[in-house]
Amino acid sequence: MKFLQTLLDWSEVWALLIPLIIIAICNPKEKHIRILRGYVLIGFILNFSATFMLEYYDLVPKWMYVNNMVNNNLPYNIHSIIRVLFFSWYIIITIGPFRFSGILKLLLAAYAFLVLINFIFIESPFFLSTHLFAAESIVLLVMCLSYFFRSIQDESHTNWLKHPSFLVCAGICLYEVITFFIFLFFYPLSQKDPAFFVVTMRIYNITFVLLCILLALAFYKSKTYHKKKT
Amino acid sequence: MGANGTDIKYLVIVGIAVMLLLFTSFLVALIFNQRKKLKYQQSMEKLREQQQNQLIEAAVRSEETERHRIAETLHDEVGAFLSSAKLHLLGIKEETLDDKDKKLYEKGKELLNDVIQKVRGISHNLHSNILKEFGLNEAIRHFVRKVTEGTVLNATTALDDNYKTVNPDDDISMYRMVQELINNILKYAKATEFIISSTLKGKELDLVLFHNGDGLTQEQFEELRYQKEGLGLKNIQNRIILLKGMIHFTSGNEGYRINIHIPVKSTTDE
Repeated sequence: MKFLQTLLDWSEVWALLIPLIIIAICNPKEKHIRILRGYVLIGFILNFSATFMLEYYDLVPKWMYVNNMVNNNLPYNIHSIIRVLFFSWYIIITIGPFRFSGILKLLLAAYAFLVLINFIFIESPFFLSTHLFAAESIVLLVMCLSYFFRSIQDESHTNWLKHPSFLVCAGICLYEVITFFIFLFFYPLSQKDPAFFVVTMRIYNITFVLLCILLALAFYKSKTYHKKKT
Repeated sequence: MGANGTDIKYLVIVGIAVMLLLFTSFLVALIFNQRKKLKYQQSMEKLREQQQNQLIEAAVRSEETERHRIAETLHDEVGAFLSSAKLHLLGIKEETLDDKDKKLYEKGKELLNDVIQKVRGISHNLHSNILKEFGLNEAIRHFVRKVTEGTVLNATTALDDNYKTVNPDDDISMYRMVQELINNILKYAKATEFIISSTLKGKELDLVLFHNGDGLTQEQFEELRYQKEGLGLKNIQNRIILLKGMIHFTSGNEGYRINIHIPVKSTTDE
């Protein structure tokens, strides 16, 4: 039981090890997939630091304390921003020239502006920002919908279902549709229904593992897909 | 507002459920769309293939018609003129000629006979009368006998007599391919042994041409058939496409092998 608990506590870390292992084995070199490699690596470092700070708080040096307490919210906030930037970049590049490309770039710029406003004037970066997570879900869902719309409209011979990017977008979409409501009601739920809050956190962990598995599959497929094409 | 824990809980559950439903709908729409598109592309591909086959068929048929026309012209017109010329030549009284003219007369007669034979040979070759009257196997046997007579090439034919003509046009295509391949072997392979065999397996006819000279590999065939000089090989490929068959060139220690695989209706289907 304790092992299962530890496994779930560290799920955000070991889940990212799955795509990292696939990257090490398959070494996908495709231009677009390199963006995701960057995300997986940075995400792993951030999640490891956040989980390590929570699990081994006594080992954290005093200068890292916030208000005399260990605070691991900063890596989570950075991770959310990284997720938006890297996944949006990947989707925009993958769908290529598109009728709404300008709008997508504008949306990304608006997101960056709102993040700056939020952390300068509204919330501290050491506070787990539900605004940030909600904005992340909205931006990435719009990106994924654009991807699906683009693939439906596409008249070329590309089979989008077999394209590695389909797995990535399906993973992001699944992750964001579930986490949107979890983070939107993060604080009220933690105060008013702590038992259900724990359940939602477990659901969140499982969803993140699913996203990592789909990313790993995309890395694997990227190698075989481009081999077939060449 | 003061929403209690249960309200928030249901809000989260319903929210996630609705979002998941929307996500699933998008996925299903995408999958259906892709499948539809793929089916359309496949049908277009099929149509293109059909058009290509029709073009090849038209080219092959017109080539065959032209061969017949040339063969008939050679036989009926050129042949008739040559025979008439021979008759005129034979009309010359030999005893009135001196020794020098006699030699010229003999040489002229010999050359005329050679030309008549050659024209007849070409005409028969183009017309494939034997093929029409006696079928593919007999035509191949006759052709092999004719082209290897008086050469160093030792030819063997082992053809499956269970094969009976179903579609005469297909037989012509098969015969033309064999003709082209044997001519190539005679021209380039410098072989001393040649074997042609066929086996009928249900609805499939396997033709195997083997020789111990210098032959082609599959890679060389693929390369040559796209070159201008490889017109014969291109014709072979066109006929293979037309017959929906397969041709494969292989090399081994003993020599080179050409396997031709043609789907045909078996005699029981007739």
